[in-house]
Amino acid sequence: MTGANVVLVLAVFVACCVEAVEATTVVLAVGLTRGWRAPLLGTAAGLGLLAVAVVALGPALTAIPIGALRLVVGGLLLVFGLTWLRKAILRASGLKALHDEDALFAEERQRAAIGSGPPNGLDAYAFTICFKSVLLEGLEVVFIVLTFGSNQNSIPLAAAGAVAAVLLVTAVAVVVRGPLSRVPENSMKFAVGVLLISFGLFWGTEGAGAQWPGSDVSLLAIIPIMALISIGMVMWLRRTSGLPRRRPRTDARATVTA
Amino acid sequence: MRGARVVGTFLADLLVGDDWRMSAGIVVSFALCFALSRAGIAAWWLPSVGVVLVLAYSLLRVTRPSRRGQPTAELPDAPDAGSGPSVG
Repeated sequence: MTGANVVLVLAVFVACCVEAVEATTVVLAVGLTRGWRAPLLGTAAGLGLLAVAVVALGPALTAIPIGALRLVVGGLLLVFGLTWLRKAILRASGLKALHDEDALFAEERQRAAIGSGPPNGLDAYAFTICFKSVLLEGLEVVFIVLTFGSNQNSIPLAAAGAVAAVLLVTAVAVVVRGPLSRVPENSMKFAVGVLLISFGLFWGTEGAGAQWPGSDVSLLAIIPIMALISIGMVMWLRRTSGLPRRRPRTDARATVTA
Repeated sequence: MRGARVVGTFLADLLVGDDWRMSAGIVVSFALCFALSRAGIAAWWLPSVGVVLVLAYSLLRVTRPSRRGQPTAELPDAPDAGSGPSVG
């Protein structure tokens, strides 16, 4: 292997690690909070569609308008993330119950009335989030492989670097899954909301034509800033609310609805 | 018919979320960001500011009635408004 090829594999490996970490973070976060079936199915569907696209289109894939895709995926992640974070903030500030049997019953009744599936059926939200995130990041990995690889006339080597990156990040995700599952439910949902909003902002803003300073590195600033702002909102609500406060429950198995 | 209704409900919830104002704020933020970027103005900060503002506004709307001593549709002891699926 020549020096140029080593540099090629390393460059593709690092670039694809970044993309894989982004997709894996979303899948991990959603899986830990909403169960694993739908996120894994969404991931499989995203990878399946990506594989079909790669086989069918090959290098023509680079013609897909990635900016528009980023804008759509980013916008949807923001809608999901804001919904999650808003509820998590209300719960953390004591303004919303962590465990509300009446709301759970009402939701079950509404679900039965409209004929939608039971709560243990396919979670369409979790499926959609993971499907889109994996598809978007997978496309970016494919772009990296095609552009880096074709520049060096060595697409298989670039692909090997990408596969190694994805396998490494997946292995790390499997290892950290256990410790993360012991985090209290509302804390996890709070963190997931922050992550979804951060990734949504990053992708959506780039899709809208703006460039983040530092590109992907900016995520290292966006995530903690969003977390600090959210914690500030909890403190603000605790201070200004006129409602009697509920003692936050620490039961990680509490079912949270509505 | 029932399937179409379920799909329609799902899509509406998907695109709108719990509070349509937040979704509208996101659209406006990205539209402004797009317009400014096309004009050559750095607008990477704009959607972030927009998101923080719509989140704060949405929280304010939920909690504001409680300051007058009235329950709101989203607070724990009030009747469930029945809006949206269980997300988050």
